[in-house]
Amino acid sequence: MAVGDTPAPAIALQEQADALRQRLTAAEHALGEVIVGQAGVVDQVLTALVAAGHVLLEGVPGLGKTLLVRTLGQVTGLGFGRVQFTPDLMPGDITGTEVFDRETGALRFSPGPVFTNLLLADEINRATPRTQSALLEAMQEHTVTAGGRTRPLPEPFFVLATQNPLEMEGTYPLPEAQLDRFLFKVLVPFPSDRELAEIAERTTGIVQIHRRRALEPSDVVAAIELIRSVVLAPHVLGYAVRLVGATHPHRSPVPEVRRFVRYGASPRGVQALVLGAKVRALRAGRWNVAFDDVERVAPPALRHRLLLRFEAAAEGITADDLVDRILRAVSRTAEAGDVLVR
Amino acid sequence: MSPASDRALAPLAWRVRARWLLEATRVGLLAGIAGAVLITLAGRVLVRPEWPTLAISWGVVGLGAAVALALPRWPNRWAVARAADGLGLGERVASALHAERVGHPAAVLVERDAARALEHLDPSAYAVVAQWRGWRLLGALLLLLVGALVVPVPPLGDAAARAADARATAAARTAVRELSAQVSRPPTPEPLAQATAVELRTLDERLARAADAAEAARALEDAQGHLAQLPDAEDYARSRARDQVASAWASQPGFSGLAQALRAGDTQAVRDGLANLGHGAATMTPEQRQQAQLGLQAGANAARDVPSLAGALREAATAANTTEDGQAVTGDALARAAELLAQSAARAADVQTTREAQARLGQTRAALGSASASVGTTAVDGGGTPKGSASGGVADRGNSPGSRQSGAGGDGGSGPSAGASAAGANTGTGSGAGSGGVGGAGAGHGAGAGAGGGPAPGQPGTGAAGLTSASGSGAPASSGPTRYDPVYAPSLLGGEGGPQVQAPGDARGASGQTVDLPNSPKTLGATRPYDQVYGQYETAARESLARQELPQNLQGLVQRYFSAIAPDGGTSSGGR
Repeated sequence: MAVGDTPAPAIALQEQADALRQRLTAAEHALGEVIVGQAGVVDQVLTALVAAGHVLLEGVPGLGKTLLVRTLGQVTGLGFGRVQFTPDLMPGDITGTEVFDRETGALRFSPGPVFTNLLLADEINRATPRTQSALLEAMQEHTVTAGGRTRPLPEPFFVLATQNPLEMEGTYPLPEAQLDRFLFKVLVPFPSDRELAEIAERTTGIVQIHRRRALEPSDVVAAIELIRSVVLAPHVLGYAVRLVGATHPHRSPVPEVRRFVRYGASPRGVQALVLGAKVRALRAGRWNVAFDDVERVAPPALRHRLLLRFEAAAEGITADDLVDRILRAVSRTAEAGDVLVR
Repeated sequence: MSPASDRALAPLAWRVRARWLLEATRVGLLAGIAGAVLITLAGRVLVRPEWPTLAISWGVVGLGAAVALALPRWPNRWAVARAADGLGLGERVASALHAERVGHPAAVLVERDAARALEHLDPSAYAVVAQWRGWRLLGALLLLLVGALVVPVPPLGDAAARAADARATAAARTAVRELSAQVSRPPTPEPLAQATAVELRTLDERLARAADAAEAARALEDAQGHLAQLPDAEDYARSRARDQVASAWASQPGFSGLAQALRAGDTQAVRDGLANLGHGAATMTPEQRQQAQLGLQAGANAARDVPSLAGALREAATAANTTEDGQAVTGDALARAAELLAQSAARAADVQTTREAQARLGQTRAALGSASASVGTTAVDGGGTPKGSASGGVADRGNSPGSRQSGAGGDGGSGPSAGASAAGANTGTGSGAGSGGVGGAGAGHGAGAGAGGGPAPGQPGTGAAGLTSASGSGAPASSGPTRYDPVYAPSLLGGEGGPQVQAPGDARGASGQTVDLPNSPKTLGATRPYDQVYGQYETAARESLARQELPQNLQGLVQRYFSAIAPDGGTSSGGR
């Protein structure tokens, strides 16, 4: 089909997609100038951003998780707020409280740090579950209810939380309900030797890295709308559904899932797969979701949604291991004898 | 999708559908050949004759069912699109198809992507044969099938024996049906012929219900026994009368034609011959009239077994020598005699048929025994002597009186050869087969009883028995194992050769003859086969009657006596 035969709306869509792709690429490069290595992490964070999802970053201290989020805010021009979670943190410290205004003699709502576009919840597992749950409404509804009133949060609203997998004392594992609200859980790997060397050079030298803005908030909003125009064929959707179904022990074809998983992914898992796959397709220049897109976003979308049994920890089986087995066991074709060749 | 995209997909579509067809065929062949292997092995082990048909049918049905079940998955446009995506197009084609179907805002863009991707599509990258492993399995099954067909497989248990039994029983039933068809052609109202046909039909039904060859053999043996009981004394008497009259007339001038007609069973020729004789009575010369009288009288003497026939012939002989006015009387008497002769001929033919049927059943029983493993010695005994080799049976009988020739084995040979061989084997006294196959059908027992070298058709009597004592159709046929009765041996007997009877002079004044009875017991209380004893004594009595002038009623008494004690007259037939 020639370009001249394309209807105007489609042309507009195409131009929007091309522009977005370029800006996302630029944002990726901008982040890469600040964050050494971690290309996969950056890719997944940007994907989640465009998919309007929250991200849980997990990694040992010193890998640049906080730096990544702060830089992301600068690169995208989104309002940035940070909360350092501590055990004595109160819910009101996140959402805001009503304070007495001496001038007016009335109570006035003082918004908390959650009222921003990009909220960095640093070491979220250090706060008590009560405080952690203060983010539930904000993450899901993009609203805060305080003083009897529900107040909307700025759009777009993202929560990028970090947690340290090493320390167990003084930490409170996130409840499943809150974990399920994160679109992706991104594992931040330890940098390689070369990357370590570069980190050392950048952070101990005299060279200053300037964070340049590559995206506007409006671009992010537009991108969030645009990805919904990506076509999802029914057989690809079916594949995503079968992947999520395979995480449940009572219906999984994977023996390890039946043995080590107590409870599987919720329907949000399918949403995460689909949205993440659409972003990947658009960034790859396609208007349709492919099986590969779904498979690439499956690990970050599902690893935090599998509730494992104690036996898994005892035998050293991680959620990533199980997701990998699921990907290998679940066929792309739904019925036997399908002519499609994997 | 755009026409260009459809055209780009067309070559791939052919390959996709070819794979579908191949896969359905492979599955069908797998199911069909696997089932055929099992059926072949089971059929050969259990020795079931229907296994080839079942195996082939299963193969065809399996293939057809697989194709039929695959029909709902006939590769449509969507399947072809997905096949194209499977060649590295990233689900563009199927997504374009879906977007077009649902009217997605980005449908045009997706279609454009798909079209670009299809430009680089290589249909040959789509393998028509999805997996060779499945076809290797098919090859292995084919080899297994070949092995199941050619490798010797031992039958399970007695399956082979049962199969042999079933085949033997079926062959026996076929033989019985053929015999029944022959006996029933042409249909006859005679009671004996009808009874024989009914017995054969009953036997056919029993064979159809027979569970194994042993039961079939018992049915054949029973039928033989029943057939042996069918001819009564009068049947035998009339049969003998026919033979004897024919023998008597054979040497009478002007009566040889009648003799031939009688032997051939041409009742119409007999009637015509006697009627012509009656018509010509008025123009005969006295010498011719005397010849006619002598011929008729000889016939009357020969027909003493049937008093009514003898009386009619005697009456005709008397009337033949009257004046010309007695022509009507002669004609009437001859007509009565002709009718009675025809009845005798018919009865003789029926008796012959019954005996032949009995002999054939014996042969069938022998064949059943040799073909089946379950019948065993019973059938072997019943098989007895093969047809035409009466010498075997007769020789055995001559040399060892106690030898068994059970069953209706062999018909004792057909007439001449049997008679001759019998005569040779038994010191020439002619205790061989009687006339034609009648004696032979009696498994040699009845024929053996017909001592006197029973004249076979076309042959005059041989041996010392003389002319009129031909009793080829002496005792009826016996079936089953021979029954032995203790027979009192007269103290006069002793030494070799048995008793001697001094016969008086004959009617022409010749000196009497000494008749030796063969195979006489040498010691008191010795046992011999009854039908042998009966036949010999009956023959001796007949010979005596021929030489001694007894009143006719006494002659009839003697005849009736021997008829009454004939082996089939009131005695058990099954144990003969």
